[in-house]
Amino acid sequence: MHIAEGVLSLPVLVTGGAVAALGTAVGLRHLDADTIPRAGVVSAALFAASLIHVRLGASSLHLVLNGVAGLLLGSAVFPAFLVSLFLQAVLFQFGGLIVLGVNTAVMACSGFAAGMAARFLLRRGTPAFVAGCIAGGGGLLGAALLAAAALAASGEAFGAGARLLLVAHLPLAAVEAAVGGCACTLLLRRFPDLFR
Amino acid sequence: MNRNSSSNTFPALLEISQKNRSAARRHFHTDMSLRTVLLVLGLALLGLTLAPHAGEAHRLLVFAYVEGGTLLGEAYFNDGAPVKQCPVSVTDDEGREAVSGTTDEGGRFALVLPEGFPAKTLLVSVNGGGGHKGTFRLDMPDAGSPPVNVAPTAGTAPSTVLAEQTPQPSPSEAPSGVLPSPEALETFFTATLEKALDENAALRRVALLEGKLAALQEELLVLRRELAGPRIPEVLGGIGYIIGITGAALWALSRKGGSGKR
Repeated sequence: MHIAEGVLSLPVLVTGGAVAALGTAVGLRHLDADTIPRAGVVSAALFAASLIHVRLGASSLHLVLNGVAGLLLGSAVFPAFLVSLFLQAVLFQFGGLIVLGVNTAVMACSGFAAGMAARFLLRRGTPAFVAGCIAGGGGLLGAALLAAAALAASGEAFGAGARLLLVAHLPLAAVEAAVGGCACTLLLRRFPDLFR
Repeated sequence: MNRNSSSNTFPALLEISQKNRSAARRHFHTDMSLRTVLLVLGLALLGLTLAPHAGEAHRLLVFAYVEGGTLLGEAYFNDGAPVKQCPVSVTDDEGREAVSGTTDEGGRFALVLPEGFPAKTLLVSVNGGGGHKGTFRLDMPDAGSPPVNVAPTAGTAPSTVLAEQTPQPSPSEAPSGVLPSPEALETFFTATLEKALDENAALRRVALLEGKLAALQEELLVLRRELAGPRIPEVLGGIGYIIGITGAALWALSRKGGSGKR
């Protein structure tokens, strides 16, 4: 879901950049000695996850892990995504520096929302696997929706584009949900008070 | 314990875990969770480096070349999957559109360039939808017949033939007015015939060369596609940057807060 250079219009680029900057500022304020290493590890995982791709039917997809990242990091998911997307843009030419803000905002906003939702559910006593599924699947679908919205705001027809993005990402959302559920279960089994 | 077994394989990753331990040893459980996460990440990385196809589908690549007034090319994602049925647009570097079309099921396209489009540089862009777009910059060879420049490699004969081609002596030039003698006619016809044969041979050589050139272009396409994916040094470099940023942040925090006293 890296949006390429030259697709988005200027207002969308500016809005995305502003949201990403705000999120990063908030995220950095919440980082402390406990969460910095966690943010680093998650950032490295986000960076590497985009390289392992799975062929599903006609399309080829890769794990995004933004929901799980949001669950683990909270608002620190913004700087984590900023770093990994920046490095992907510079080293692999995925996305690009001009669209870095929009891509960060798309991934991190939905990841943050899904992660927070999962944390809330966990506190209410929802089983870890279900909460993890919601974080993983919800984060990915949210990112697909936001990407479609960014494209629509730049002139691409929303209906068709969004449906295409959502349908294309449904199988991946299932995979992400499973990964999120497993990760959440494993982590909470060993460290029951991780998200408190 | 797993720490000992992992220390050979993931020394760099373990380093953060140790840094973390010295800087943030307030909560034992966080520390343990980090070690597990690190281990998982390390395994994922190992899997990544072992994976034969490390690529992803979010970079769209375009490659094109011109052959006899036709623009031939291919668009693919950088894991090699073709970009099917997507719009192709060819413009000059000022954005004036020369021609547009669609890719086929194999991601290929062949577009006839309009006569006399005055561009030195063509920008071939393919929009894959969903935010995927790739552009290829094609510097056009000079309009003067490119095959002529290639021909001499085949031997000396064609170059002389082609050099002769430029003056273009007309058949009517030798005998005009008076009826020529049979000898003169015979030499004229043999000369014309020989020249025609030579030209034919030269043309065939050019055609052969063009075929070889097309094969080379094909090979180039395959190579480009193979080179498109991220390579392992870049991947490891990126991970290194992230470890460095994390370390720097922790260092700054330990200097500021004093909680990281050794």
